[in-house]
Amino acid sequence: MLTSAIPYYLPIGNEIEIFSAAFAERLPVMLKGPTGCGKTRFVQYMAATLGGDRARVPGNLVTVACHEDLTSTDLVGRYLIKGEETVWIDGPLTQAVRAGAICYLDEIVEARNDTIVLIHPLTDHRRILPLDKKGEIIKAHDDFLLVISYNPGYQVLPKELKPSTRQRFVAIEFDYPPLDKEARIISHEGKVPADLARELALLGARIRDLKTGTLAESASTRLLIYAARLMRQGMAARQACHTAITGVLSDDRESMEAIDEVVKVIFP
Amino acid sequence: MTGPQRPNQAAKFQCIKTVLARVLEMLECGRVAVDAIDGAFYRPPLQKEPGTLLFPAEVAAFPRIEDNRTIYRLIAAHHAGRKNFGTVSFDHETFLAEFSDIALARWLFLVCDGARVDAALGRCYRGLAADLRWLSRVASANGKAAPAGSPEHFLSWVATLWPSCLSVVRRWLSTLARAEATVHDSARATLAIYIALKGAAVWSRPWGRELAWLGERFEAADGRAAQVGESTMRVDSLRRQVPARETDAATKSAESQGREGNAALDLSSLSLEELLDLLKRIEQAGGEKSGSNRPNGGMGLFLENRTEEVLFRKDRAHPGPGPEVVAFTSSKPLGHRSAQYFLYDEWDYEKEGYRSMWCRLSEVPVVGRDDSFFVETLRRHAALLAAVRRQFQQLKPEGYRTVKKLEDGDDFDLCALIDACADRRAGHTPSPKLYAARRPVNRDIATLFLLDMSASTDELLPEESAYGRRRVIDVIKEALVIMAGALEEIGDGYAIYGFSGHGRTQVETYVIKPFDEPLSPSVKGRIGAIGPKRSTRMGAALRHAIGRLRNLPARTKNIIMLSDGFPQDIDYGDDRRSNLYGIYDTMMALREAVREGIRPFCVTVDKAGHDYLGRMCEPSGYLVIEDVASLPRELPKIYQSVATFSGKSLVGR
Repeated sequence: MLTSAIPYYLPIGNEIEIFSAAFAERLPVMLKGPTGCGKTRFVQYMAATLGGDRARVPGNLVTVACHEDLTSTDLVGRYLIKGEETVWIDGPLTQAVRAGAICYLDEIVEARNDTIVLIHPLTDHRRILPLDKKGEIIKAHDDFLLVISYNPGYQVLPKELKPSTRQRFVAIEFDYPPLDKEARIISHEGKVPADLARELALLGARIRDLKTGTLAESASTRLLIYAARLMRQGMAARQACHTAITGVLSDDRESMEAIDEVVKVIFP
Repeated sequence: MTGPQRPNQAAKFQCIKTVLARVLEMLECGRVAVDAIDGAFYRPPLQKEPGTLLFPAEVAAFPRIEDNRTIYRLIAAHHAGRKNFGTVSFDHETFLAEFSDIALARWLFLVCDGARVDAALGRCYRGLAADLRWLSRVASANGKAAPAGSPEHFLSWVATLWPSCLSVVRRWLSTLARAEATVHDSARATLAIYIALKGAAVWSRPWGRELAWLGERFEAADGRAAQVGESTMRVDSLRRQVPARETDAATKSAESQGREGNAALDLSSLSLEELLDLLKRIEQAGGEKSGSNRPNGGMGLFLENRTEEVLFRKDRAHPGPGPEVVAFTSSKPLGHRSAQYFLYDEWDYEKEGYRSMWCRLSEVPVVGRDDSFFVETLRRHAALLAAVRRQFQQLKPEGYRTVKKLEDGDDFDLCALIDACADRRAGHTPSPKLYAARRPVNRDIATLFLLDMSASTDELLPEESAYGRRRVIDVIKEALVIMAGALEEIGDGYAIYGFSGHGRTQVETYVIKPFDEPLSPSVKGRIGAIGPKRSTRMGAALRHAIGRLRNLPARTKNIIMLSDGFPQDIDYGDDRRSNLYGIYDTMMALREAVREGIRPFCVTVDKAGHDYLGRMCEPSGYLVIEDVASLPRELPKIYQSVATFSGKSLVGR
């Protein structure tokens, strides 16, 4: 029997309690937070811990990475030609609705507006998914839950969610963890000593002090973990930080130099 | 045999000032201005209100540029340390004013607090601690003195000139290196070392005996008193006893200790108040408060001279961050007059009708061959431009159209499907292109940026940026550079015109970039040549802009007008004291634009802009930017809002 291990997740606030309560009421959840702060990991963790036995069913979490060419067909499904026949193939959203999985639409605002409105009937009391092309309306499984995420930081005005969409969700706000907790996460995920992890967390905090406009996005916990993993492989700290953080965050020479200078302040 | 010595590779402030500003931002200093002063120093001078953080103009202490850059990093970290470890919040000027030899006290405070801040930084940042150790090691290995102001430098200096004070100085520096040391400990250390040095300097004088006795008493009292209250009582007691205690025993004790006797002065346990009390006594005994407020001679004078020479000479020569204006533009006329004139009506709100052909407007070509402003602005705002470009790349398309005969798509292309069935029946290989999809339609937008080039845009911004003082017009130009760079990314059509003039017959528009001209070096040069002119007759300029957009085939047309005040000209209405005529004429011109299918949007950096723009425009048709300096950041957002406007209100700011 396949069992899914519970992924590591360190709670930052009361997000687990909020999500659990929302799940109990089957209220759609919107996760807001910067890139690499742990939104996806949180959903994985919740999918693995909620719902009792269902948590161990493979496929209880369906993740869709949204992009600007994502159409409603990509989510719902389509007819394909198979020999002399046309065959309907469920899309990931339809699969989740039928099976009672958690459907996680990552970076929802990247999707086209006509795609986003598709989820409206699933996110109110109706909990239905109309399949126009099939002339079918699917009633969502009792365990189905829709979770969306987006990053309000770098999204610009035209990319914001419409109020008519936003008001269908309960929101859980994420941010980068406080230094102590981020150090613990880095230490666990990067498998590095606590003091080194703490210095990486400190570097993350320092880079995040750079105000909006200088960097498109700040140093994520994920990047700090990458740096830790490079260090675990024996790479010098300054080189690892340059490779995993500086070069990723910016192409601007002065910003890169500034970040490298702060790396040198922290790591000998 | 050694070859010719290679000159050191200097690190220059000018090359890394932006980097330093960003490093400071990351080290919890916020956005601060940075500037350079001549000469090399290690400890940045103390500033009462550190609005601009100072660095040496050049560091060439080491052969390798990387090592010289390290000094800049250490200075930047020290600035941050002063902010984060309490130095900045301490009123050092009031404290230093207590001393007769302020220069010596200032230098001691710089050294003491510098040692404390460095120690604190070293505890927080391992990399910095290593750099500090490296600096000390390399300086010693090369036989050079440690950097002026560093603890090592100070100790070697004391050891040479005041060996009797060495133990006092060492003890205090050691105290300051502890984690619990605060800026008040730096002040105490300053005071204590000052007293010790001064005492040593005047030891041979008659009142030196009194000092020796005082030292003895403190030494004796030190073991008894542990609490501050007791300590204060001790001082009071001493204070009462001092005049009467010139006993032979005390005198002998002092004489027997000689210069070494002063080393017994253990001042560590005294409160600041007690130290100040002691300071007063020494100052009075030395009679140094008289005359020029300077020491009469001896070590004190030497110290002060030396101090100034080493540290403060450059500081005093520096005039401070004054109103330096970075002149980006030429003061020469922009160009020559064109022979082409345009006549425009003007709205008279009192008569409720147009004054026919009232304004004569000429298009003035702008001459600007130097694109250095454009290039420099792009360099300065590279990060912002990159961010804006990324945002613009994400702009949604204006619509979708169905594309047929695709191998993959949202739906079947029924025509292709029927063809495929027919092909199969006929025994041919059917085409796999059986699907249709909705694809985004290209953008079709044209925007004219209309700049107010009135004389008032020559006004300086209240705050100095990292690049010096800027005028309103400079910020507007920078915003345009960012916009142009971003618009090139998405291919939207745009034009840039300026306007000014003097009276209704001399309204001028300055052609900086017409729609049909690409962003060539000459356009970049023209943007650089934009400068303040005369008045602000907005109505005629807007009507001219409408004319420039009228015949363009674009589906969406916009005018974004950037100004710094209300419409104003010498004859903009009969009553020169009232601006109503200009406001109503501009309002009508904006309505004319809307009637032509053009969306106008007014942006002003005038904080009072709500008063008149509220009359001229719809609430969603204007924006008042309170912080002028933020215009380069805000304008692209405004453009996105305007370009994607679809009947909803713009976000109020």
